[in-house]
Amino acid sequence: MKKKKSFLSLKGKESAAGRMFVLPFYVGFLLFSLTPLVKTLIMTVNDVKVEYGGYNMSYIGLENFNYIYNVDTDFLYNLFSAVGNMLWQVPVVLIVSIILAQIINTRFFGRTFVRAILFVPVIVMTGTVVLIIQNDVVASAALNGGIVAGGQIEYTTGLEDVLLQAGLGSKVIDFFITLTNGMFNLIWKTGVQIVIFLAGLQSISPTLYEASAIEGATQWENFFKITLPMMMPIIVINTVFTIVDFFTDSTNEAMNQVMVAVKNLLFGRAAAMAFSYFVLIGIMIAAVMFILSKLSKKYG
Amino acid sequence: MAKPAKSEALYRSEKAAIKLAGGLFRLMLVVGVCYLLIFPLLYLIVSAVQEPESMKDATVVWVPKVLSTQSFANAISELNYGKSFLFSLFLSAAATLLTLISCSAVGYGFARFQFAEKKIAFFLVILLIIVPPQTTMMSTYLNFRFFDIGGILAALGIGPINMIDSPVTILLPAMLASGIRAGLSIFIFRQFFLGQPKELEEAAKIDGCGVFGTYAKIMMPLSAPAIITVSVFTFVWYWNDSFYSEMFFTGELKPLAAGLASLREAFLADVTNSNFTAQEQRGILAAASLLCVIPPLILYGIVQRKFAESIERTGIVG
Repeated sequence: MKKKKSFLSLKGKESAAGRMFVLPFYVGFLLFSLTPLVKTLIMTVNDVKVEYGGYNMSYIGLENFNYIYNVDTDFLYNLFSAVGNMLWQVPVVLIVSIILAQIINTRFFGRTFVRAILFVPVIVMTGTVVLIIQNDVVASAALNGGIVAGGQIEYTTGLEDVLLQAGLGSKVIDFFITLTNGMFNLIWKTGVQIVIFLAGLQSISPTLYEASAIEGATQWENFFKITLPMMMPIIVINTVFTIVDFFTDSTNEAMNQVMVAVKNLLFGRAAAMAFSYFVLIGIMIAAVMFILSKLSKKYG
Repeated sequence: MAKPAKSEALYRSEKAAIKLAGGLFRLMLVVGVCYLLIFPLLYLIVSAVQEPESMKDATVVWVPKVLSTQSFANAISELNYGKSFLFSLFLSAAATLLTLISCSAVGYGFARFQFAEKKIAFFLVILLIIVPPQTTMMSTYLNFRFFDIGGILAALGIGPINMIDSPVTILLPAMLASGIRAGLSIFIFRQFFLGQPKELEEAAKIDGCGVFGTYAKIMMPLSAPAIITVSVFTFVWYWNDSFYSEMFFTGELKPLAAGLASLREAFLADVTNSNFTAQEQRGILAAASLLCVIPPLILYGIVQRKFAESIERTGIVG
């Protein structure tokens, strides 16, 4: 070889360029994600005391975990009620947003207007504003003769009678009542999900629907045999996003407890709570991804 | 005997009926959902513009009897609106710009180059989306309260610096692709770049353009949909964020979202003793919420059409 060999091979050059582009993320991840995560993990087994000019940690083993699981009566209850709420709220949010995305994906009069309104929660999604709105709406419902129970508005006293007369079991009725009472909060959570689903729907090639129309398929068959299987990856992303969204929500009791502990400077306990919660959610996300990938293999 | 085939006319009228029923169902659903979404905003507007005293009046339901700017005036002074508005605008705009630059570069790196640890690195991006900020909030706070880069500052004798109340707490993570929901931004950019044809970049390479030149001069001008999607989202997330801003800004000058959050907490803690009656407090909170929400709503109104189109063309599916 006469030509002077470059310092890096072609492949090496490509790797170097790629790493240059990703470098900000590496530094950022190291400084702002990994370090805090490891520090939090260390805090869970320490007694953290904030002092002037720094903070002090002394090793106390699993005392923090012992406290939150065995002494604190609220934590386990909050943890499981948060997860339990999530189990039905996440599917409802996903189903509602896929239906709404499907609707604004079709052409009809006033579509632009409806689309603009459906994206409003994305814009106004501030925790505080939503809290103020809820407070205000609760107050107004009380003024106007609505029934307020435990900070939640119950519009649905009529619905209960109808369901009772239809001969449904009390568990089923309870479910429907909770569902309809929570509708306001749930609809306000669908913003980003609709956006993501809409992007997914737009990416399905129209030729598939043309072919199925020629074969004489109905809209239902279209939805279940084309749209759903094609949307499977988007559904997975959206499910994960929604779970995380509920997890970090400021109305979430378990998260609230962590925040209160932080405000009281009980950093070790807060770290133990946050970490237990994170592990539980991690398991949930892993399970959901496993089930969904199995499903998409079966139908995809 | 075979069933007689449906006559053409019957078939058509049946189809028309189904279409009508579908249209009606859609109309009901859309009107219902839009009502749920608009109702609170209307309610905020009504509470903000009416005279606080008339909230007690049961005859006033939707249309205010006496208009008053009192709630707005109080909210503006309570929030220190002029200053905190500009501060919020500066923080959100700067953070959005930095996020755009860093996340697009990282997304480009993931979409176009091969390197050994790419899969693991991308897994870390997903982890960035999944790990909620609350899990690490104590250490993040302490990180900035006693800010030091790997002990370098301490070794230089400057010691850890207190970064609380400084815009650095918001802008530095944004610059390093670790800002609010940065994982999602990286993901959107990566998916967008993956969907673009490679021919243009190859042509640029043959013409002697380096990788950074290709990224800055060829790819970025072509990625308007991804840029619009990410900027609108990021701007709004930063503008609305009260979690980080409440944690990092404890002094006089606060971003709007933090100001609103502390105003609400102050009123909650002090319903009776404060300078305002309960009705006045509600009016002020409604007005303050509107003052916080209106700037992003105006921005959204301006870019609405472009934003919706961009989302549809971002190709998150890849």
